[in-house]
Amino acid sequence: MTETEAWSAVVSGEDAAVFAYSVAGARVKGAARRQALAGLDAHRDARSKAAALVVAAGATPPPAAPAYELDPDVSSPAGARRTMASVDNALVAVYADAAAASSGADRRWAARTGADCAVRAVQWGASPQAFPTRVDAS
Amino acid sequence: MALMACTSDADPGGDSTATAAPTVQSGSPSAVSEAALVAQYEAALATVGQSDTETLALLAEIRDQHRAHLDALGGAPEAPVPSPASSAQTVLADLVAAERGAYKERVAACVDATEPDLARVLALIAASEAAHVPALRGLRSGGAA
Repeated sequence: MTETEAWSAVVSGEDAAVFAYSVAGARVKGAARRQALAGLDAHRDARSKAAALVVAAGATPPPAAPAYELDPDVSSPAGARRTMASVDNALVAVYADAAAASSGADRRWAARTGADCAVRAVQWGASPQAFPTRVDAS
Repeated sequence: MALMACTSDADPGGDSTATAAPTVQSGSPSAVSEAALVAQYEAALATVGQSDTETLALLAEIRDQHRAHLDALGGAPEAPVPSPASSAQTVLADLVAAERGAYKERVAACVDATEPDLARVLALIAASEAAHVPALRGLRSGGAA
């Protein structure tokens, strides 16, 4: 996977996360709503940064899809939490691929942003994950 | 201005075995740190009361995740299990501090990694360890300790 491909995958993953947070965040209330809005902002910012890295590499970021398939029970508060946890956990591997493909400050950002996703997933009620463990190239 | 490319043809006495280094090396600082975390969780499990099944289950689960990290990093000698802390509260606070430190170390090692595969594994381990903090905090706020 080239660095441009890796950042493009981050853009696509973040587009899916922004969509999921927009839908699911509206289904939770109070502190959870504030948490969802903070997560939505974080995903928008990360999408923007990854898109800038694709542009800096001379490529065009992939466009967002009009809609993404979500868990049918996203409309319940519990289902909304599971949906947000699921998109966050899915992004961890995407960011790890970006860390592998990049270097320096960009790699640091990928590692930290992927970790932020893992933290949010647990805050939404997911069990903590081990995440690895493949050392071989994909 | 043109940049001259180095030609490897002229490289004298090139040692071809130098490129055959394994992706992960047993006993690296990250692996040693994972072995210490496994030992710290073993000690914590011995401190938590047997009736506190929720805490015991989570600590065992996280210990197993550190074992998986240790394996992914090529292993390290078993670390001695530290003597148990005085209270379950102290144990959990110490574990949170250890996970935070481990997260920072793994990110730094990820940035320094020369091989992409190792950088990927360290990024995944960093994410796992960052997420252990809210998991442990959930126990504390839940009054399980």
